[in-house]
Amino acid sequence: MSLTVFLMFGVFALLLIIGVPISISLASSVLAAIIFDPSITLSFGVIAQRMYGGLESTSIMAIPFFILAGNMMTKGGISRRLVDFANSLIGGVRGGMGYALILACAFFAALSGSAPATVIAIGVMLYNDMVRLGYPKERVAGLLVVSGGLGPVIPPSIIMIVYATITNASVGDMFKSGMLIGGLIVVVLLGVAAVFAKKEKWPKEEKGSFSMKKLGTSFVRAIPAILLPVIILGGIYSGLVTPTESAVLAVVWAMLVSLFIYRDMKPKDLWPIIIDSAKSSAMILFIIASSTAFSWLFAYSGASAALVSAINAMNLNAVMFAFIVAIVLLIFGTFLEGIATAVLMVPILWPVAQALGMDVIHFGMIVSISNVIGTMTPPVAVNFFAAASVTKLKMGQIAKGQLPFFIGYVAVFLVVVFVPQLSTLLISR
Amino acid sequence: MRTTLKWLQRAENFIMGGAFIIMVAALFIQVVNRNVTKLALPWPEEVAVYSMIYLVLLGTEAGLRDGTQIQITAIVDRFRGRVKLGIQIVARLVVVAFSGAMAYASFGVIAAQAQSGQTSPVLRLPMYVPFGAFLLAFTIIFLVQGYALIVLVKAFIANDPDASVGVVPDSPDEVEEITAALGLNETADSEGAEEKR
Repeated sequence: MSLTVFLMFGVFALLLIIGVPISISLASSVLAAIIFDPSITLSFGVIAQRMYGGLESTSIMAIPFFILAGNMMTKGGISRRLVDFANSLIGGVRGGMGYALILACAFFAALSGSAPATVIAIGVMLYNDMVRLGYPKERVAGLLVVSGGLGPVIPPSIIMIVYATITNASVGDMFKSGMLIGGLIVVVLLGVAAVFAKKEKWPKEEKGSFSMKKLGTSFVRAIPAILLPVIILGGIYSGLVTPTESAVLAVVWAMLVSLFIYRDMKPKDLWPIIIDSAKSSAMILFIIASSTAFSWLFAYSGASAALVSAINAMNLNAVMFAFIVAIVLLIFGTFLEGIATAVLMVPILWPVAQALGMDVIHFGMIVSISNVIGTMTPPVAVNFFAAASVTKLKMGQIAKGQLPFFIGYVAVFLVVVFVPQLSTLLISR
Repeated sequence: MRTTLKWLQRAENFIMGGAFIIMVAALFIQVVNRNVTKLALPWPEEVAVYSMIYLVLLGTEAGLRDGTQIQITAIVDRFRGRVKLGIQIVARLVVVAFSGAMAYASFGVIAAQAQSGQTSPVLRLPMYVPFGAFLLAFTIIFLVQGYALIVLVKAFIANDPDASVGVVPDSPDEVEEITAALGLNETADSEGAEEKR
């Protein structure tokens, strides 16, 4: 057993270091264990069969659909309407555009489910204007990185679908919990922004003063976009559609809005969007397929059961274990891409959490939020890269501006870890 | 070889895009049918799942070819010249060896499925049809990545890192793509044009 685990994790780490793609590194480490561990008498065919098993699922099909819907909305003129709406909601107060940035990210998060997509779509719309008006650029870039982190927490969320597929948790319950915790993060970020708006004297936009007429107009223009989460969540909670089917409805609605209501997209734009979305989806789903083979061999070798017994012998309580899991996931998230961290670690850690009596939704929220924090912490920090490409600032500058908002985000994460009731507050059992 | 790669990309895009459209259409029909027409239609889900398998496998090949698969390059990028090329050769060799092993293994699984006459639960399709995506994709990965490996080895021998550039096209810049989609490039261009005037 120990040789199997050593080969699996050792080869995986080595291949990652030399730049082999994550999905191939995962599957190749399984292949290495089968070839070099004499105690394993399996054929290579088992890897292909397990990968096939990982893909033969209707629930993970929601991932390509949400990616496609998000891409259509991003390229179909949605961000502009959301930014206008957010601006008209809080315009005129000191630091108003800072608050608008947070709200626009929250609205966009309810459509996209991806953190870097949120950073880019909103950053491109707001960053230059905010800097021109006199907002400190490092602070705006930092706020962008952390607000982009609302993407995978506010539903729909790709990471939550992946998690629910692995653990058989209810996607609907994960989304409900995400709504509450996402809302809490928005409030905390608004609070931190208010403190810094006063301390750093962020500008007050005279032109942007609040008016009911402006709010009404921008709201009407944003309605088709705002309806998308209503369709997704309303469909799921009314029981009319499954989460995967709601994702298909999101695709159809996003296409209709972009082509016929906003008219920012033409029919000829559809094909490249479909191909781009197919490639992004393949990347995530192939990691899931490879990790299915990886976690299967981990369980087959007996390592999974041994880990459960070892942690049980430590007499940890559920909250202490949750804290340890959070630390482990944060460390992994610093070096690995979010989905890869989840598909690699959840099958290993969830049986232990289950044995300790942890709630599946609570554990899922820890996984999801730690995943997002990973996108804000170098070296593998996609939100950072996205913000750097929008703002053209150096990583160090962004990190400096990000710190207070990041601390706020981590504070909410710790509350989620230590107060399990928060994750399950909206869920009826 | 470049022409072959171009044609391969077109064929792959056609299958991936087609599979995606079939997935959306099949599940949309399922939703409409369950809530409106209420006919006995058991096939949409199976069609969508098998289409997704082709989408994922061929999408992975495309992602490996154009370098958009997630990988950690921070460490490799610290090196220069022959050392960097050497590491890239080893990494590429792993991909080639893995895809070769998987193509071989998939062929074995498909042969067994054909022999046993195993079919899918609803459509009664031979199971080697969905599983064929593995053989197809891993064979293409083996060939394309094998070609890329040869180019890298030649660059290593010639000690010319630039010779390997272009084996895999650079991925498009996401920011530029989104700014273009939002019409912001046009605004910048027109502002520039006005300034010139």
